[in-house]
Amino acid sequence: MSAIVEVSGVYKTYRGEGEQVAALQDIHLTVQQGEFVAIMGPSGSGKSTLLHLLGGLDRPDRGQIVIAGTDLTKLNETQLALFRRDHIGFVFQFFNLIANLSVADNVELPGLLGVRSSAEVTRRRAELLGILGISEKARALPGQLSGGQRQRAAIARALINTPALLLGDEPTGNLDSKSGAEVAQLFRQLHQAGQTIIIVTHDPQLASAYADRIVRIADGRLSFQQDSASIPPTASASGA
Amino acid sequence: MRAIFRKARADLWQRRLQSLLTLLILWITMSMGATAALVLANTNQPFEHAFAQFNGPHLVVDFDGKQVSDAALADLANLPEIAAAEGPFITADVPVRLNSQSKDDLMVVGSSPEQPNIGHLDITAGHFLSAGDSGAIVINQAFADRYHLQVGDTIQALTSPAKPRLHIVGLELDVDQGNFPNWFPARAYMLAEALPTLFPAASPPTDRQMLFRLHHADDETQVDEALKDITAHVPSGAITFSYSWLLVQQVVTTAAQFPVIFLIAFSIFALFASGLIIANVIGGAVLAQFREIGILKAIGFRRGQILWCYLLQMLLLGLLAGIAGFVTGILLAPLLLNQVARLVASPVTVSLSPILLFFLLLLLELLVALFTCVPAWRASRIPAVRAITTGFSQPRQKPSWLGILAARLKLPRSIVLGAKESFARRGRAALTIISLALGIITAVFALGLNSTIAAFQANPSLSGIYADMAVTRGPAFSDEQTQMLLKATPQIVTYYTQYQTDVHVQGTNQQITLYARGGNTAAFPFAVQQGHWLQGPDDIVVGSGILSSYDLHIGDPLRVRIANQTATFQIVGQMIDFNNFGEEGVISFPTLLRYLPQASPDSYWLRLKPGTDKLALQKQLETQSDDLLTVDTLDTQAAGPLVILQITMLVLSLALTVIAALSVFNTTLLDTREHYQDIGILKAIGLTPRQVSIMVSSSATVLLVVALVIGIPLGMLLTNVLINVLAASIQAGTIPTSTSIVGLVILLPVAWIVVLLASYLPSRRAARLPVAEILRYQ
Repeated sequence: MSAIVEVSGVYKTYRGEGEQVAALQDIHLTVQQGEFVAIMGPSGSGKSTLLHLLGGLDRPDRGQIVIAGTDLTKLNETQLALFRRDHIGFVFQFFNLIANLSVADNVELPGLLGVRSSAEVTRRRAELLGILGISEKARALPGQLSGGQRQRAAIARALINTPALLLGDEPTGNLDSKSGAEVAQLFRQLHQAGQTIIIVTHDPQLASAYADRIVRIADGRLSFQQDSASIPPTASASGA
Repeated sequence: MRAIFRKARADLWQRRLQSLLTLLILWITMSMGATAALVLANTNQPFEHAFAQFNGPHLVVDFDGKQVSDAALADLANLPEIAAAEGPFITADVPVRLNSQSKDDLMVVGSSPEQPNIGHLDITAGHFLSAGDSGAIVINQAFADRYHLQVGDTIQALTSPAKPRLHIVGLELDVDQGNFPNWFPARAYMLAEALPTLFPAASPPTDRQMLFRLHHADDETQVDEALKDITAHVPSGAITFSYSWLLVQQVVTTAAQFPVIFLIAFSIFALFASGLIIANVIGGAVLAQFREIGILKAIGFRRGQILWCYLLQMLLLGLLAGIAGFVTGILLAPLLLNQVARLVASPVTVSLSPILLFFLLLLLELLVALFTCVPAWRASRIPAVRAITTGFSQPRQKPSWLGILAARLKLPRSIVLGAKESFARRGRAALTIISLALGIITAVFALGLNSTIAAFQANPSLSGIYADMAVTRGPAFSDEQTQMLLKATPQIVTYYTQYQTDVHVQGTNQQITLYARGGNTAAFPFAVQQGHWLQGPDDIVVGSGILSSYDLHIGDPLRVRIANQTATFQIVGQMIDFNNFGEEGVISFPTLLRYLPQASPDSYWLRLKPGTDKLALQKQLETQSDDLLTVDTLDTQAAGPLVILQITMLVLSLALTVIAALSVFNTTLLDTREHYQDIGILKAIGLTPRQVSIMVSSSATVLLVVALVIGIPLGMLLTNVLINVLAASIQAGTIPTSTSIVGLVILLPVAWIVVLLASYLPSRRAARLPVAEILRYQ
């Protein structure tokens, strides 16, 4: 397997009013193609910051981030936007669908930004909604869906351009246990189909059950990494 | 572009109320601008159409028949610049009794039964002259309309004690001179052999008129060349008056163009106000869609594409409103053009120039783009991470000094809360204040215009009229008879006399009107705007048109030709002058007698005892003079063009008030939406729905107060500037404008009511929302 994500020597500091916060310090991380990595850590540890950097939504102060052979730190904002469109899929905790667009329009939006024909994008959308089990909700507005359905729509949107890397920021964090389990299962299916996935999660069950590797981060530093296979399953039945 | 189009379409639908408001505002703006542009582009068309149809004269020249023979005048047709000539016609000023109430003057042209080839007439009723019908007269349609005359009516010529009766056989419209009453006296036609019979045998009419068509007459310079040649071929002083078709066109079209100046000025206002509202709407949308912008960036939208999401929405609205507004302009323009068309019996045509439509649309879209791009560009620069994680842009958190002031004044808590929030979004507040100020400026201007017109009507001396009544004598009543009558009338306290003549400015073919005043001039408060009134024997006071046309100043000499002599006067003062584009001058009567020793006054300007019944005195004097004197009570009414101007300003004020109200509505709507959670919390802790409404309205009221402080002084300044721009266009001199204090005082509560009405729906909505729902809203 080749490395699809290579992070080396990354630092990120936030400068607030009168103080500086070192969100990330000297991060080194490599993710192989087809790997499912879960990033875990306490609140404020820098998990989401790392995810935003991997997705090109933010820039590190120092270091290098190479995704699918492209060094993101050398791209300007337009190039980053294009890269995100074509190579990255994002799934957020609060779904972040566009409220006044239907499910179909939400899913197709990244596809329509690219060079593919509308017909092709529509076909891909129909395929994804079918896989994710929400075909009948294509014309519905996000406000008319349950949390689980919204997250499925968000996943479909993230996959419309067949991205090299799927990023999830607490994808089950805002879902009930049943919906959360269903979404987690979806991630597994995508992983089994060869999708490279990195998620941030508080859910140790999700991490241990589905991820190939767990990366722990604390105070902006990677504390340790371990294969999830080495983590014994927990007795808790809740998703928390 | 597909993705951008879908997002833009969805946003327009989601904010359909605001989209509709924006569409409405842009439609109003475009309607005003298109109306102005179409009127300007088509004003000359009715006249040009009629001029071509009637084969109008390029040049009309009046001659003193005592100095040049008819044969010599007819020979002028052979001059190289002359394409065709008609005449000489006998002409005479004929005072006429029209009915028991009305008298006026006519400029009667002696004609053959065949209509002239040049300056053909449009007979709108009856027929032209017939051979042998010596008592027939054909009069101008506009003159007939004013005095309710029709074919078959009889009028009396007051040119001799016999007062011959004339029967109206036809009504006509022509392009030989400007339209009555802007151009007076009105034109009329009698058989050439019958006209002299109206006058005593001892004083037959001696004036002659020639009509010329020229080979080249596109501008005054070309016409002037022909006039120079004509002047060179007649004895010096033979030409008493002349004018070109361009002057006639200007007089005819001025009435329609009068309100266009203001339509253009306030269209620009409306354009600017619309732009501010657009900026406000987009700014609000950006704030509301803060997180969404981050999401769009996360899924691959570039900055330019974010900007285009907003730009496309507004450009679409601009295009729809632009086309609708242009159509509205096509429907409204004829209302202004109709005045001109009616005067020359020409159909109203509004030519639909695709270039004009394109230009207006382009202008509108450029404005829309400009005001959209600023907030949209800011939206495109929002960092994606901040937008996604924060979800909203915080309004300013610093303490509001307005809120502190309101609290210190111990105002009700709901007002304090409203005042505190009024400038939470400074940009939005500023835009709303400017929209309100523009509406206030327009209203103040409309009040100032009405007040100024009323002041002039109440005080005629402002218009250069210093007498209570004016008496004009015809050829059949002598100066001695007139003055004897006036001195014997106890209601008349005193009077001054006046003689009027047209003279050429030395070295030019241009004429000015000269008034020579005598009698008890010292008793009348003649005023000047610059310099001083007549003191020395060679002094002249002039209208500002003379100063600007001949590049003269107070203290300069003015040389004119009077009776084949060069008279040199010294300009000592400039007076206000609404006639003849300000090309008039006043000298003393003794000064005139040096050049015209036989001259005698032809009008008398009276000061009456207080309480005198003017109408009764008018009847008395006319009866005592056997109707050979014309008495004018000088009761002024707003001229037609001014009335149209007032109506135009009223419409513009209403339009800008609507735009200002929509701006307040939009701002209040956005503010309440952003503060739903705060409102929920306030209601949860005990604020009543009524107090919520007062809070929302108080915010809007604060903005209104600021707008009033800015708008009222600016409106007063604009009143002075614009009215004097109008005055300068007719070279009338400086107009003292006045402000209606009562009007301004009434404006304050009216403006407040407008703001309250505009903020009513959003405040009511906020007041009625269930607390639980508000607190759940994100």
